[in-house]
Amino acid sequence: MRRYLFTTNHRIVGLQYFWLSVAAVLTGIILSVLMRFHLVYPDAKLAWFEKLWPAGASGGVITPELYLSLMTMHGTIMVFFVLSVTPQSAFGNYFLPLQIGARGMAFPKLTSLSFWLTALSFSILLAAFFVIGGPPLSGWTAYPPLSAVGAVSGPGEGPGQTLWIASIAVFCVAAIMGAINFIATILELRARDLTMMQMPLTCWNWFVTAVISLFGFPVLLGAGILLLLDRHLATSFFVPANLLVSDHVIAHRGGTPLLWQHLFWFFGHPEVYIAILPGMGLISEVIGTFSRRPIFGYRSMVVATFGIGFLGLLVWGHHMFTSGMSPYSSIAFSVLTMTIGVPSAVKTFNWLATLWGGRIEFTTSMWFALGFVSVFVTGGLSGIFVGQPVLDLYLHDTYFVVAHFHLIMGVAAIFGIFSGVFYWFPRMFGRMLNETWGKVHFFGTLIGVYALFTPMHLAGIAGNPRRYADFTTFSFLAPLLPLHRFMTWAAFFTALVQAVFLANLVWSIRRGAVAAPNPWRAETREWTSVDALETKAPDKTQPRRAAFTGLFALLSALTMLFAAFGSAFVVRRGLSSDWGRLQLPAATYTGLFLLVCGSVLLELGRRRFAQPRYFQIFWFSSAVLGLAFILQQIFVWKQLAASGIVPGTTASAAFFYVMTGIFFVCAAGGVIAVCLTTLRKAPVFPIPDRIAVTAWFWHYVAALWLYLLILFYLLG
Amino acid sequence: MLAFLQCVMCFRTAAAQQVERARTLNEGIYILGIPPLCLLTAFAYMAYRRR
Repeated sequence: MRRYLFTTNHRIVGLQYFWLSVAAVLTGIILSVLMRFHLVYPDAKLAWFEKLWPAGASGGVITPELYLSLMTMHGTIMVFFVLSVTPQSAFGNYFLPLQIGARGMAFPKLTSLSFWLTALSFSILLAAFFVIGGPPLSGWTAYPPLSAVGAVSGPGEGPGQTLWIASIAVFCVAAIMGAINFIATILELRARDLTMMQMPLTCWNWFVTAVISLFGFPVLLGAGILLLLDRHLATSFFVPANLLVSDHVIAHRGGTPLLWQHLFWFFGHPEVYIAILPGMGLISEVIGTFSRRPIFGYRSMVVATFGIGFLGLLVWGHHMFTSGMSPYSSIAFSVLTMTIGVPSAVKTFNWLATLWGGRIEFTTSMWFALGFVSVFVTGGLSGIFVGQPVLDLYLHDTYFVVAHFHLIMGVAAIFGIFSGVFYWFPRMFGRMLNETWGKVHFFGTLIGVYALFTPMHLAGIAGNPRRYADFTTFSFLAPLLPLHRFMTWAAFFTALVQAVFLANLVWSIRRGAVAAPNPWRAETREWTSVDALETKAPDKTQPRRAAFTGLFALLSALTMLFAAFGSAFVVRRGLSSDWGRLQLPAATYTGLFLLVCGSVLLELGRRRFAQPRYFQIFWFSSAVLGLAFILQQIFVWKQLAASGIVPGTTASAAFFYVMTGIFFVCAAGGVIAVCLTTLRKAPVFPIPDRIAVTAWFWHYVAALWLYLLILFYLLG
Repeated sequence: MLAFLQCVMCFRTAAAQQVERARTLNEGIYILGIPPLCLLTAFAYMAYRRR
C-alpha cells in the first residue's frame, strides 16, 4: 500500500489521476442533476435533501443559495478536476513516456507530488460542503465583490469561499508542477530514434497544453492570492469603495472587480484549450488508427495546435465585452477570437480528410472520436455568435453561453476522454471494455447531450439568464418551463446512461475479455513496444538537458506570476483614485546589492567547481548574503508595520507586501538550493549541471528583485 | 476612424469612454499579454531546435 501511495511510477500515478477524476465526475454529475431538478421543480420537497443539507434545504426544499452552491461546485469540479485532470494528467502521465520511448517522466518525484497536491486540492474543495454556511455560491468564476466581502454576501461566502480559493491555489501549484514535467519530458527524454515531427499528435497536444497551463495557472494563482488577501487582510484589490451589501457598508475602498475579470479570464480562456487540446490529439490518433490511414496533414495539425495555443492566450477579453471595456479593445479581441476558427477548421478538415477513403472500423472509441468532431463543430459555431461584441451584449449571461461552453469545452472534451478510455483501456488494465455496452453508452450520451444543450440555445435566445435559481417567478420566462422540463429529463437520461459506462468499467476490469498486446493494430509505441525499456537506451545527456528545460519552465511560470501582479498593479493604480505612493525603505535597495553580489559569487564559484574548497567558500558566502537579504526583508516589513503601513493601508502597500512576500519564498528557496548544492559530498560532488541550474535560478531571483524595485520606484 | 465603422451603440460607448481608463486597461493587457507570447515563441523555438 505504501509503495502504491508514494510511488513515482508514471503509470501508477496516471491511474491515480484517473480514479480521482472518476470520483470527481460522479460528484459533478450528481450536482448537475440536482440543479436541473430544482430548476423545474423549485418547490419540490424531498426529505433527504434536508438530511444532506440541513441549512441549505430546510423542509426538504433547495434554497436559492444552495442552488448557487451546487452550481459553483459543479462548475469547479468539472472544469478543474475532470476536464483539466483526465486528458492531460491521467492519460498524459500514463502514456507520454510510453509513446516517446522514455523510462518515465523527467522528474518522477514531481509527478507524484503533483498528484497528491491535486488530491489535497480536491479534498479541500469537498470540505466546503461541511463548513458553516456550506459551499461558496459565487460560481466557478468566483467574481468579486460577491466572493471578496465574506459571509455578509451569502451563507457560502464565509469559510466555504476561503476553502474554494485555497483549493484552487493548491491545484494551480500542482498543475504548474505537472506542466514543467511534461515539457521537460517531451523535449528532452524522447527515444533517440524519435524526432519531434515523428511524435504522435497526442504528444504535441500534451506539449502545447502544458505550455499554456504554465502561463495560465500562475496568473490564476496570483489572482487567488489577491482575492484571499481582500477577504482576510482588508486589502482592496477587487472591492470598490462605498459598497453596500445586505445593509452593511463594506469597509474596503478603491478596488475594481474588473481587475479580477482581467486576471481570471487570462487563465479562464486558455483553460478551454487545456481541456480540449489533449482530446484533439487523442482523437487524431484514434481516427487515424480506425481509418487505417495516417492522419491527414500531420504538419498542419502541429502548426494548428500551436496556432490554437498562441491565439488562445490572446482572447481573454471576449469574456469581458460587457464589462465596460473599450469597444476598440473589444474589436481586437473579437477579431482574434474569430481567427481561432482557422486552426480549428484546419483540424476539423484534416479529421474528415483522414476518414475520406479510409477503411473505417466503428469501434466505441471511434464513435466517441466522431462524436467529438460533431459536438466540437456544433459548439464552435455558437462561439461565432458570442464572439461578436454586439451579439454578446444580448447573449451574455444567458443560457446560450451555457449551451455553448458545455458543448465545446465540456461535452467535446469528455467525448475525447471516453474515446481515450475505450482506446487505452486494454493497455491500462489488460482487458477489453465491452463494445456493445460501449456503443449503447455512446449513442445514449450523444442523444442525451444534444437533447439537453440544443434547446438551451433557444432558452438563451429567448433571454433566459443563467444562474437564476427559480426562473419561473419571472413572467416573461414562465413560458420556457416546458423547454426546461425537457432539458431536465434529457439531463436525467444522460446521467443514467453514464451508469452503463460505470458498470462496464467496473465489470471489465475484473471480467472483461483478456486483451491482445495490440488489439487495435495501432502503430504508436505504447502498443508496438511491450515496454518502453525495449527502446534504445536513453542518451546520458538527457537528464541534464531535462534539468535545464525544467528550470526554464519553472522560471516561465514565475515570470507569469509576477507579470500578473505587475498587470494588476498597473490596472489597480490606473482605475482608482485612492492610490497612495509608497516610500520604499532604503533597505530594499541594499537588498539588490546583496542579491547581485550573491550572483557574482555564485558565478565565481561555478567557474571553480573543480576545486571544492574554493567552490564551497564562494557558494557559502553567497548563501550568507542570501540569508542576509531574507533577514533584511523581515526587518523591512517590521519597519513598515511599525510606521503604520500594513497591507490594508493603501493599495501600493498591499502590492508591496504581496509581491515581496512571494519573492521572499523564491529567495528562501534559492538559499536552500545553494546550501544543498554546496553541501553535496563526493562522489556526487561536484555536479556541474546541478550547480549551473542553482546559479541560474539565483540570477533570475536577483533580476526579479530589480524588476520589483523599478516597478515600485517608477509607479509605486 | 475605426469608431465610425461601428454601430451607433458601440460608437456612443466608445465616445463616452474615459481615455485614461481605456489606456490603463490596455497597459494591463499588454503587460499580461506580451510575456506569454515571448515565452511561447521560446518554447516553439526549443521544440524546433530539438526536432
